Amino acid sequence: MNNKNFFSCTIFAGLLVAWYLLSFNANQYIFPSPIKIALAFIEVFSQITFIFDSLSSLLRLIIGFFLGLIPAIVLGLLIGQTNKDFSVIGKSFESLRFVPPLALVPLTILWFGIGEFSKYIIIAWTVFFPVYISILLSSKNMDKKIIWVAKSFNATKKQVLLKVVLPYLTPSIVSGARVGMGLAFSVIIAAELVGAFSGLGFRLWFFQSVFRVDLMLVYIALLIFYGFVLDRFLKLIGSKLFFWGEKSEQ
Amino acid sequence: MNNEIEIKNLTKDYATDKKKTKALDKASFNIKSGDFVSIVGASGCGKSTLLNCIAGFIKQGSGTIKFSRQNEKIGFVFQNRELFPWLNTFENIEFGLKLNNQTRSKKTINGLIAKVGLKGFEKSYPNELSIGMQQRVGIARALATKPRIILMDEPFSSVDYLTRIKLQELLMHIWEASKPSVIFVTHDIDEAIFLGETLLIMSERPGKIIKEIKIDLPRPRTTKTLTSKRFNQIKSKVLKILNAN
Repeated sequence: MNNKNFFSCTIFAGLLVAWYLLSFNANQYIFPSPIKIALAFIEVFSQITFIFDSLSSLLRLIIGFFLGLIPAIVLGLLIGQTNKDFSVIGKSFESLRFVPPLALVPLTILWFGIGEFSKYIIIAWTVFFPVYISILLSSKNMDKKIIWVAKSFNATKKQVLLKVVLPYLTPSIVSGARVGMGLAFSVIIAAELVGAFSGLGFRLWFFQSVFRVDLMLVYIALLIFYGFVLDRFLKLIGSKLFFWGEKSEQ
Repeated sequence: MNNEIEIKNLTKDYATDKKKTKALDKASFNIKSGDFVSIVGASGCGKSTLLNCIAGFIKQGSGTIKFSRQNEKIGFVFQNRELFPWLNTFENIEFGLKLNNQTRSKKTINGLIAKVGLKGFEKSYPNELSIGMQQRVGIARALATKPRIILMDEPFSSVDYLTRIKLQELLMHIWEASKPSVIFVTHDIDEAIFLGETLLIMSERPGKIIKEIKIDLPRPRTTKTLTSKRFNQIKSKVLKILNAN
């Protein structure tokens, strides 16, 4: 074990001890001791509910993610490559990003009901703008000479878009998607707090209503885990897609 | 020899919000089939603009560019290489062939790689290559589709002196072997004379062709050519013309 690891382990252990001492005199419902939380972990993982809750949240997240990602890529590519004609539309479109996704929750419930579709729309909305804006920005900075290369081989517009522009924009698409995923993760949990009957967010609210702070903390730990895994997953996909930033593996 | 490209009264303005800059002013000249034409001129005289017009990257303001054959394939070598960072050496060179659905065997491309001296670097990505090697890839990529016209925009301006001489020799061998029509734009007078059969001198902005000189240096040209008496005679003549303008 190196010094850095040792240091962070010491801090972690220190915090745990401090928590334990603080929880000694506290109300166990409001501020449970580490031992009680450890028992809560066992309680959660010995039942199947947490799997349903996770699946339900993650499914919303993933479906909504792609519903936002794909239009963002298509529109970003098209609007990013047109100079004047579409930029007006693109600009007015951009202003929609100032609508906070959570402000759409009451609206989507009225328009689309309380079911899954409302959640997809909210997540898609959240993911769309970081990707779309990121594509527009790097389209703006793109050196047109790289397109001229394709033109010198008489490339069609479609070939330019798919063989040059799309690979060029891949890194910004991935970084936009990572930002979008991070936002979507917090948005889905918040959205589930008010308008859902399943999911991690819904369950958190439910545990709160029955004063099970220990179980709430276990679910928060789950959220940390999922957030981390999703981000690393996107990062991995990104590094596979733009490997040229690093040395080749062979 | 017949004319491969005829250029007449080419004019190009660049307009910004504040002012209009004339880049080219009635530039006229012909490129003979199989000729190696060097175009030399001061920085910012419109040489690159001229080349970009010929390649069709930008539209000229007025004037005509006439090719002897319609839809002639061209190869373009860029000053900053402009390689695709997501493709390795082999794939970069193959790029134009794939776009045109031209099928040339793996062997031909590997042959081209060997010809430009990049054997063993087929799988390397541009960021793993030196600038000189990157430009070898750039040249091979332009040659891959077997174009009859090759346009080069200061391709050797960002490499060191010794690498430049090596690349110049490589280019000369390629030209001597298959005699494509080459237009080579540079601000380096030595390079223009050393490589070219015909030398076109451009005025300062707005650019036009002010003088055409035949370069009668014997071939094959070597580093010795660079220090020969005839070379220096031509060079002083070019300098005189450039300074007079």
